[in-house]
Amino acid sequence: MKRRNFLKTAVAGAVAGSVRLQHATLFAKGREQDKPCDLVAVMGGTPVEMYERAIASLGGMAKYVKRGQKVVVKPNIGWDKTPEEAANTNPELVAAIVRDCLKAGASEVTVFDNTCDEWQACYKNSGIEAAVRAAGAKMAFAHEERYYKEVSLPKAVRMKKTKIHEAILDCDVWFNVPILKNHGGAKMTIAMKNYMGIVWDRRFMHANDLQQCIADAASYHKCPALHIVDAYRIMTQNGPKGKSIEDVQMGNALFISPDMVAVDTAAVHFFNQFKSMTINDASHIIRGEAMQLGTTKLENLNIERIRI
Amino acid sequence: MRIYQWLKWSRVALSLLILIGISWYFTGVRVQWTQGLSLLLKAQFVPAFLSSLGASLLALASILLLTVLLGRIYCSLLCPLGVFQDVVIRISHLFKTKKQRLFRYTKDPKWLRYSILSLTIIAWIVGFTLPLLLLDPYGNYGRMASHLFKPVVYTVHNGLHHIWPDTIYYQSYIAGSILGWLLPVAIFVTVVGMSAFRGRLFCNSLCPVGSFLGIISKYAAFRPVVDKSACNHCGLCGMKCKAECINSKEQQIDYSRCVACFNCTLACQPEAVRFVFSWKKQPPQEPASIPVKNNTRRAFIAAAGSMAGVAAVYRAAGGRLLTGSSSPDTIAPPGARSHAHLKQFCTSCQACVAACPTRIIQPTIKGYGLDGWMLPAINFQNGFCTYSCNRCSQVCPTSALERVSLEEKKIIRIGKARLTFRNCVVNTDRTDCGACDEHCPTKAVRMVPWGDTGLRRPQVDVEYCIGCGGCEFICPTTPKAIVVQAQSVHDTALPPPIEKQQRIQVDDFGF
Repeated sequence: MKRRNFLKTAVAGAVAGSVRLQHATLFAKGREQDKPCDLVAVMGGTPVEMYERAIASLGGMAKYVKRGQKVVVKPNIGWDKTPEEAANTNPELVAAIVRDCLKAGASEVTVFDNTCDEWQACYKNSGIEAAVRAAGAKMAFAHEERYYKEVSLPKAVRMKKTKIHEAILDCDVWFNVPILKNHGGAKMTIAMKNYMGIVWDRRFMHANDLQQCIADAASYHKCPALHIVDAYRIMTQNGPKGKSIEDVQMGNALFISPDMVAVDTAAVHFFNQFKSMTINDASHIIRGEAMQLGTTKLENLNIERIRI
Repeated sequence: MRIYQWLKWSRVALSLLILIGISWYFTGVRVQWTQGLSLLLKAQFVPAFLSSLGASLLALASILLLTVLLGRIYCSLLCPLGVFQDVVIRISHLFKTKKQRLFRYTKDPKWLRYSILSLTIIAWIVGFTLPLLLLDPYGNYGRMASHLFKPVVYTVHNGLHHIWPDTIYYQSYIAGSILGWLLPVAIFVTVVGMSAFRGRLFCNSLCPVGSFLGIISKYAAFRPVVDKSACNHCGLCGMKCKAECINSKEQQIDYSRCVACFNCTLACQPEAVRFVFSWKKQPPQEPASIPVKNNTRRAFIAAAGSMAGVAAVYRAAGGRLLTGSSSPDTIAPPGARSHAHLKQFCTSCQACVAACPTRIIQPTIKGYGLDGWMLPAINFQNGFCTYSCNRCSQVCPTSALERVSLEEKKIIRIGKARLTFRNCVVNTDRTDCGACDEHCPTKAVRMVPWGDTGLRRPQVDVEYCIGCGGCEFICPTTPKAIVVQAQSVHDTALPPPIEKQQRIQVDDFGF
């Protein structure tokens, strides 16, 4: 009986292991087999504290970044706004991730975004340029079409090909670091919507079923190792640009997952406590699940909740 | 004498620095770096004159004082077109024999000079600003730099980008209409041709600023004066005079054309030509200068009289003799107040074009009518007006764009957004979009629930719209569903209301 039990466990373990391995290769390039944790949610600290707790419980950055790898950290730097206005990702969070990547042995870390407002004003006033340069990363230029190269998106429904920033094409591993915001067009902007900043032609996306095109962009085969959602300050109205700091609420939270659909779903549930919102409204999340980019069924996931 | 060496070479060094500064301002790729150089533009004569009427007397008073003291040193030091000609003269010397490099005294083309001057002044007074626009030496240099030198600088910059791709960013050049090149090319050819063969002929025939300052410089405190007892009649002073204003045979200098370059003082071996204080010892100089003065005055009055006649006819024709009316579709940059104000004060120097970080300010050919040739207008094809930017109004040296603070600029309405919902992708495709709402800084455009479709459609609250063009720029449809309609006269929008939110304290993750 013991032997049988042992064999059973071994087979079950092997199956589970292979499934997990597949999951890891799908969603986290260069990721090792890990302890079973699909999503980490942290609440109550500064952005950097929350990030450090979350990455530690995922097993540390060294699991995702190998020595000598070229890394891209892609925050939201879309707007000519200050960190307090919460239109862009928190600069300290971005800098902490950069430092962590370099500590794990990254040969270089690049940060960029295809901004909506004038790019130099965005890089500067978001505080991100100064913060990541001090942390040792390079800000890449992303304001001209020549910095983008055409790729095909075989899984896409509407946008079968598009131009994606060369830094993403050239890197070994990348991290998607959006900020949680309300959005006039897409309803919500979180991890999947943040893909619009690696794409050159966002007008095409708006003109060809925005929600589908967001899911199409997110179907790009080179997935981020992790999606790190900044919900420290969250814009709950007049997003994604916002009018004033009156549009901002303190969320004091952070969500990390290799699964973009899951992390977006979790963030929407969190946001719903401030303003009514469902993943059906932000339908790119639903479409992302339909395209097998991840799952909205949080109940099936192993979620670690941390309070600081 | 050492003092003249020092005078001349410090003038040359300073003038080159100023020329380089102004050229960099107009051609620089990184506009964030060059804004400070716009101070040099405020020290230009025509801008100083124009801004003295509405904004500040300081610049004009300083230039006039400088002229009263030192003569037309403005032309040899501050004026970019003047110093540019000095550079051309230098370069032309490389292709000339020693003998060909010498100048010869010519008669003052008084009638031409003072006719042009009075025409320019009177035309401007009656509201026809084209002559001033065409002849302002600073404005002409600005246009030359913006349209002829800038593409060269961009090419070099983008070449350097290939060597250091991580440090120097690529920036595509926005080439305007080919018609925009006509005027700068014509001026370039004229000025280069004139200066290569005849020194500062342009400044002493066509340039109204030169003619005007010449009237003052005749009475300047410090002037080059020929000491007749020391002169050995070698004639070298006249041959070195690029203004062609020294009659060495008669030992006379035409101070209305002298640009205070100090060449003559440096050339004179027996040191007979000296740059000296001449208010005290006028008597020996008087006999020579009096007839010249009278002639000038006569020419000036006669020319002014005839021009006044022309002006009367122009006025009688309702001011529309040579001018087309400005198009209601033209969007003037913030601070312009109105098309009429802009046309009265702008000499189309392109300083605002150079300052605009999103490069939406471009010269328009016909947008303001024929007399508004190449005045700046906004077009949202390449970008939109940055909400937190007022650079154009800060750099304008003529006060055609009045200095407005960032707070004022944020409510100045240069146009109004107009939505044509039947073109909107929400209507045609029944899909989400919201690009216009996303870009609107004041939330004059916002997405609202559209009936029971489950979709949200844009709605425009025009009282908050400032016409920044974010919505027009990003609108993905063809034709655009939302466009900014120009306002010939700017007004102010309501400041965007603060939408108070209840502060919510959340202690749960919600999932």
